[in-house]
Amino acid sequence: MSRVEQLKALALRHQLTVAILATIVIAIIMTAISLSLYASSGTLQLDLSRPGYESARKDITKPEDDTDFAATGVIDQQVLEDYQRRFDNQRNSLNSFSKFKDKGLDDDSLTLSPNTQN
Amino acid sequence: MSRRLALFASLVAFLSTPNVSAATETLGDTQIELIRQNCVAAQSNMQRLEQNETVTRRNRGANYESILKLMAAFNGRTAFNKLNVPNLVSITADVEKKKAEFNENYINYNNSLKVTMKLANCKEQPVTFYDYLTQTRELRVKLSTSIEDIDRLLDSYQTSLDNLKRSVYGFDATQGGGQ
Repeated sequence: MSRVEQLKALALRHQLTVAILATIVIAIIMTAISLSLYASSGTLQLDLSRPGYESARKDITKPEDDTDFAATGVIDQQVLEDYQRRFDNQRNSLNSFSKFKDKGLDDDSLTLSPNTQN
Repeated sequence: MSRRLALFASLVAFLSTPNVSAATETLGDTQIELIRQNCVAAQSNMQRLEQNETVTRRNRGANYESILKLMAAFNGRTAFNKLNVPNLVSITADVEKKKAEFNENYINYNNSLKVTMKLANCKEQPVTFYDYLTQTRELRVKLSTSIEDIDRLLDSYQTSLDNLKRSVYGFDATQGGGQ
């Protein structure tokens, strides 16, 4: 009996074990692929559910839910004013967030400048 | 074989080293010493900054999603009413593109920030630390520019919206608000 036939016979004798092992191997491969995609796509950087970001999660603000503007219907002065109000709310909210322009990475803030030494 | 490996290793090292900027080239001995002394504290400050900025990115990203949803709905409504407003549609598409650019710029900046704040033994390699910091600052400027681009597009959108109000419905554009 060749080696392949021996293996085949063994697999047929232990079908449940083989099925469980195959499931585990497939699950490991799928998890590895998912994790590599998670890291390579940049989702990792955007994900606040990671450990270490517990305190940061508290500062998340939910955008005002005024986006349910109907894509059908008439457009009159009242509708335009309603749309303008919603648009302004969104822009005001955007303007309240930092624009990554503060001096957080400056030499002075990081005490890397001779001027910041006492 | 070992020569190939050495070549590969030097290529990887070359690609992972940030470009030495003019700022780094002008570092004096005093500042290098200062960086050596304070780089660990600076890394800890960067960690705090990173935590705050992750929240900012998340909030800003969610807000961009919301405003795009609103703009898309309005564009649909103008189409439903057979109004020809190509400006509004094209600006919406541009905002969408810039939002993707903002995400990409954030990821690049965040990667660079993490490399800088996790650089081991920064006390022993202060110039490398400062090179990484300089590169991170440049990526932060790029990120900030993409936010300004979106702001400008939203301003243009507002102007086009005002024009629509005036031309089609003939009422004062300023009465409805606008930024």
